Amino acid sequence: MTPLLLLIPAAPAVTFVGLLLWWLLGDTPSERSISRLSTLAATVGVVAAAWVGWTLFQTGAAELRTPELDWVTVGRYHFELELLVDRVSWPLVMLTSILVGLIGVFSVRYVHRERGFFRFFLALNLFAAGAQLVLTAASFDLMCAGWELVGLTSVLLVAFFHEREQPVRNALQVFAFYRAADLGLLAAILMLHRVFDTTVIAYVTSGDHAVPERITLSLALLLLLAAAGKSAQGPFSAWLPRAMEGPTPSSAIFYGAISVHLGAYVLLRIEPVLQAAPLAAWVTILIGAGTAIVATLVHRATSDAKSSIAYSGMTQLGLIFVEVGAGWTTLALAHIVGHAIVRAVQFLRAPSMLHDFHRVHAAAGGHLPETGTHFDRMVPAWLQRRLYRAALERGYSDILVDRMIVTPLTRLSRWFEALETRRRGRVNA
Amino acid sequence: MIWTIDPLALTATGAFALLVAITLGLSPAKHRRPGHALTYGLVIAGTVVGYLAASPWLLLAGWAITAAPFFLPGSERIPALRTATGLSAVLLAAGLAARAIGSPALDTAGMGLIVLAALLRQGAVPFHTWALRAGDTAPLPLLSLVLNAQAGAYLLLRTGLAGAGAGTTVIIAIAVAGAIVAALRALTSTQPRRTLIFVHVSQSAWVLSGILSRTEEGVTGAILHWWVLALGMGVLFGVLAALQQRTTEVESPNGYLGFGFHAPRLAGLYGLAALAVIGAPGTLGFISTDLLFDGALASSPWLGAALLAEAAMSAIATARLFARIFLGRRGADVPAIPEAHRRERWVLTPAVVLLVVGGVAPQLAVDMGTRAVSHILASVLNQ
Repeated sequence: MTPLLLLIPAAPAVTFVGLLLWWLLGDTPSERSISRLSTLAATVGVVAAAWVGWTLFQTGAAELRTPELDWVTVGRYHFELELLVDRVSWPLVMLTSILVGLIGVFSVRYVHRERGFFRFFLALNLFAAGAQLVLTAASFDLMCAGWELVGLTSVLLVAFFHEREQPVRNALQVFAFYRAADLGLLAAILMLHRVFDTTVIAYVTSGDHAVPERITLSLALLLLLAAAGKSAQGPFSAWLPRAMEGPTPSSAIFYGAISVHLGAYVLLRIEPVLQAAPLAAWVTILIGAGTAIVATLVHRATSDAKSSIAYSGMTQLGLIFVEVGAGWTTLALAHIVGHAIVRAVQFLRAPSMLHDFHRVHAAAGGHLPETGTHFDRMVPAWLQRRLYRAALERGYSDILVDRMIVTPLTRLSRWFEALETRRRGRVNA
Repeated sequence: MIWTIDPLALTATGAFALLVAITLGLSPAKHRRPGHALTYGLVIAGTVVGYLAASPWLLLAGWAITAAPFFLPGSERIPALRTATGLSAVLLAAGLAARAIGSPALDTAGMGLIVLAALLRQGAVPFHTWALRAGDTAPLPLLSLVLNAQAGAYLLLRTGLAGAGAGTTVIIAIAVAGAIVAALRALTSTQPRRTLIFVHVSQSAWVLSGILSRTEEGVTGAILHWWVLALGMGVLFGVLAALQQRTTEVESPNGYLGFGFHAPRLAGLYGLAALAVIGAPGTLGFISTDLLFDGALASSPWLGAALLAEAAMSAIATARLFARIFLGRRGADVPAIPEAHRRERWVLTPAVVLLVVGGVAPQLAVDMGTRAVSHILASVLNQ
């Protein structure tokens, strides 16, 4: 069973390394070679995930694990390499394997003859490896490795059409949001290393070890910070519309299906910790509910299809956060799986959205009923105007981030620069 | 005994040898002419003498040899490098002399001067101005050899000033505060050379903080990161120097230059090295930064928090630099710079492979550094 479990993240990882070496040695593989290798990796991943799931459900085992291996040991520091699949992670592992394969097949045509064909599949394979690592990691250290790989590939694909400056700028902003949010995961890992000498997830979630209350609360809040960043919740919502610059298949797999749900997955994983820290659970609910309300307004006022889908997805993610915070884990898991599938399909159909609309409009005889008229009746006009304005400004998230973080940091940097210039002037004089 | 071949010296010399190989391998042809050989030769020889010196006075001689080419007629005269190497050697001489006299007050003053010499040579904020001035005028390969040698950190280890005491706390505080300022400056810098220098300054502080944490984890992280910087920063400086030979646009870029269009392999190899420097998974930098964080947290939670924030800013600045140089413009608007040629690929590929192999099998690297770590903890930090 262990080799099959290892195959799940290993298949795309090996494909990524193979393609990269092939390219570094001086030759760019043909589109046919790339697509065949990627399809093979995806197929292996699907078969391995299916077999693991079959074993899990047939034997009635709670989980399947690989033997624990100390990858690095230095003094008290241990980095454990261990994979596990249980009934929480298996649906997402299976979903990831299938969706990566399907989107890979879709992309063979979508990105055909694009200059970045090779780059796209390189990033897709690396993403698949990273996502599966996050989903199957038994320790936060290993999860962090996968988490960072997912973030990196996301940024690379946002900047896919880098001949234009806007995608590059957006990619850098997405990267900045990711790094800021990942501080939560890194800080949580450091705290676990220092306090428990281990980052094995089960150590803090199993209830077998006494964990001080303040550690539990700190852990929950730090991981919530990381999860909110990955899932574009709360103050981190500003990056998601910017990420729409990438090719549509990457938007589907990253911001529709898998990457954006990894934050919710982490919260599901630490659900016992959340429930042991009621304050953290309430913060999760508030962040989720607040984001859902803002995002549903924004999605109704957005003028481009992909951003509208992104904000709609953000709304559902907010609701998932509420479900996790409230302890409704089965509902949250089912919501994640269903939402991922629906959103992926929506993103993939986005380029045809106008065509689809015209078909539906024609089928309805040119008379589609208006939607949302109940809002006109329920909400006073002055409030509608305010909400519309807030929706156009995307919940003022850009303004808040700019005023509270970007501008102060830039001013501080310029102040140090001025100090340096004055000192250099004195030295020269 | 004149020379020492203990694990610390071997580790430092080994890392420097890798840096020299990368720097000279990537340096433009004009820097490999006989006229420049004396300068590069003296800088390399002086650094190695400093590493292998058994006594602080011989280490001082090494620093003086490193400074010599910037004072000799007919050699490279870069005022900033002359100031940095010369002044740091003078401060070190004064410090050693003060300590040799034997009076407690002079001993303390001497220690302070030696610490100043170390921080100046390391380019730590606020003593980093020379690096910026040198960045404007000095050849990048030469600057890389002087900056990335970690001579200041080595001096602190050799003279026992990395041991316990209030002074250590002060040095850590200066190093970390400086790292944050450097990372902030790197965030808003628009010139590639300056951005790279600021990234170096902030990353070098990690090595200092790891050593000064006096924990096995922190010191191991510092040794591993020393190698990561030798390889990674060597590649970053070297590629930038190679690009400067191809086009002047990289000196003061106007927008995004898009060089990745014509030189994708150069971009890819640069990108992998940059990922190692910022601690991305799959590279040796991932483990070294994790260990350094752990060591920092052992010293103080605030130190750990500060380094986390600095790491995020440094990563964003490094990503921004990569984007500015290699992403952007349409192919027709980009000057047709040549792709990485054979010599460059032969230098870059092994460097990047080492960083990735170290990331996939980090215990190998840890085991290689174990003797140096044990030596540092047992005999150097407990002096």
